[in-house]
Amino acid sequence: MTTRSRLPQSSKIAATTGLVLLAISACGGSSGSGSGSTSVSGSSTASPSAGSSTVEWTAAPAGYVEAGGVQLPSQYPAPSKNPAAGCKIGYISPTNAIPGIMAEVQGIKNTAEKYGCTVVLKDGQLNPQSQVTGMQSLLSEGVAAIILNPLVVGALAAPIQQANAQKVPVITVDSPASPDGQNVAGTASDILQSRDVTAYAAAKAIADTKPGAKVGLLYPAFPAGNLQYQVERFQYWAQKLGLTVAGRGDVANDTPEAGSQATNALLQKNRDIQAIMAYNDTAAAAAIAAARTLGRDDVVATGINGEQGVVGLVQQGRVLMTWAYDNVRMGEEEGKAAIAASVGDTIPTKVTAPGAIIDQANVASYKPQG
Amino acid sequence: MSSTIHVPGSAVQRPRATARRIWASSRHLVPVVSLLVLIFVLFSVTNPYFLSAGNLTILLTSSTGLWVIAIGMTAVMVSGAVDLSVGALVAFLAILFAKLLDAGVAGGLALVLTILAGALIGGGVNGLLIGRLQLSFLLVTMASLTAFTGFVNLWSETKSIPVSSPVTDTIAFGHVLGVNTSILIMAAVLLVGLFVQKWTYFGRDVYAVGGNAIAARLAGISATRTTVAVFAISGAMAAVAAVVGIGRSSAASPTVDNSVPLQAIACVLLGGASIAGGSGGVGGTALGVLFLSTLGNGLSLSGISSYWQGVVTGVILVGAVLLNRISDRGLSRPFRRANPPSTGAAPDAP
Repeated sequence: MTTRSRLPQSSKIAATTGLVLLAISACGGSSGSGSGSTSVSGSSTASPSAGSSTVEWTAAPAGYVEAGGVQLPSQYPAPSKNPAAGCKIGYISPTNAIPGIMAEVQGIKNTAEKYGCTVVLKDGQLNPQSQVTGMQSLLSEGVAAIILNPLVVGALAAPIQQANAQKVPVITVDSPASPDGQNVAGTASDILQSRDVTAYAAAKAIADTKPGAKVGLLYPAFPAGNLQYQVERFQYWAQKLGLTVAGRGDVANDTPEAGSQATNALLQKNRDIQAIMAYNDTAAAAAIAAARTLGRDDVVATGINGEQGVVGLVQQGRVLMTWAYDNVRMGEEEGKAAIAASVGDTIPTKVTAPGAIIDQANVASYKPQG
Repeated sequence: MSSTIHVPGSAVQRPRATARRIWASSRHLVPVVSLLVLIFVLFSVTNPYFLSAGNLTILLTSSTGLWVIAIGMTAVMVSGAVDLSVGALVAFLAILFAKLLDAGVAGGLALVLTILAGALIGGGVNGLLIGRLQLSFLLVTMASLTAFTGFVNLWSETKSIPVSSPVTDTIAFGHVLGVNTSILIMAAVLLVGLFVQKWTYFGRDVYAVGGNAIAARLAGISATRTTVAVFAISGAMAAVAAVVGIGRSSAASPTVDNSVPLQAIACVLLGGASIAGGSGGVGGTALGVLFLSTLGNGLSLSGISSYWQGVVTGVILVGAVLLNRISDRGLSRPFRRANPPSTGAAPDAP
């Protein structure tokens, strides 16, 4: 006997309940996200005890000397003339699904609109081949310039050459991440995500709170050259500011579980570690979770990206600070660079994107961009 | 001169028969148990930190999410399918939970609603499409993986949401009678899973559908209802994993971890299940999770580069599956195709 059950009556109830659930959650509205104030001011290192400081965006906090003594500008000059009417600026993301990318794209759009251009966005989908296809597609669509946030720079050598042959300037984002590193062949400029500055800010936050502390570093053991450079700078600045680097934990992939496992290994082997310097906010939160599970409530961490998810930990003082990028402003600078290069202007080969230290003192006034 | 008379079912024979039954039902666990014991001893001897209470706690608590998801995946795989969308569903349900809290819903109620939502989405989307419309589980769950990922990104605007709730904090860091709450959750999920698998008609139906869906239908079992139910279980387990993850990171992350379903599948297979369905069980899966977690933890503590950790884990996984095959079919013919096809009688099926 064959049994063919009808759609269960409970399915209708289930569907109704599902709709109610979604409605309840939708009523919650915004989760507190939104564009932050982005006025650029002088340097800022807010006092952790102040409690009511405001967020100030800066290219270089007080006391910071850039790697190799290189002094980089924090903005591109405005284009000397308007581009052709209806021009298109291409942008290739590593993936659209990471915090901050859409804010960056919004910044590019802001500048593009000002000069009568439009932005064509290609999603890299965390796949170097998708980025190659995206580059080729942008070139066939006749873009005036391309802004490229590459996953693997080497994989894009051929399309960059193709862009050069078509006289389409290419601007890279954070590739290479080092202020004194050589730009990728065939690119007009590189906008840096201030990795060295953030490393300085993180080390300083720990040195100010726990002078001479032993620190552990969380290292991204997956393909992410800029983040690996970041950890090298952590080590440099930690030692420079009187901290002792007790060890490094390899994080196999960018997940909380992997971050937790790496922190556990660090804390098991070095029980006197007092702080963890993490390459991003996800790793910082994972480090705190591992420390708490081990009963090490005294361990603090530093993060990077200024993600909304880490705000609570900053408020609690478990994460001493995170470095927030002004993604909208960075996108606006990228847009300026692209348009200026497309009209034949000479632009700086490297520019540092501004950011802000977010700590317990100013976190209340901080609104993450993403 | 006395002689012994063989009486079937005598008191002498009964313990032997029981022992044989126990051996037959747990033989498939021998490879994973052996490997687990082996690496446990190896890491205990070679690493002074491995056996510390703190490390063992971390070993268990950091695998809570995988444990729960893998137990849900066991139900799906025993029924003869695979759920590739579970990683995206975890991210979706994490955002749902955070949004419910934002909307002012109490933590406990939000937890219940999120688990219900997981069951509804898992059963209502994957379950109905696969069970009712007979669509390929690979295509359906890949499609729902893509759709859930897109929906998560749209809904969250790719932003993580900070969550500060006593419920999530208790789940991640609380203790009951000195035992970490996460570990209690693992134990509770395992016990419920074992109960459902061994002592309920539904548990038997899942094995029957996975072993031979046509025979199961002829026996009056509704394959549709069973399929909907196993995907609902997988969805509910994804919800539990989502809330556990939020507790540990104090935030709901929209990032979809696509390695989650693959890890869960590996654990289920390590536990003696067949990719064709009809065999396996939550006990074996739990051992599979413990094996993978112990391996990762021990290699990490030993300071082995994570690149090598990946290589070593992959090689050991293949070795474990091979051992399973040998244990199942004997040393002389581990690669021979099973003929006739499995009837669906699971080694540890009820």
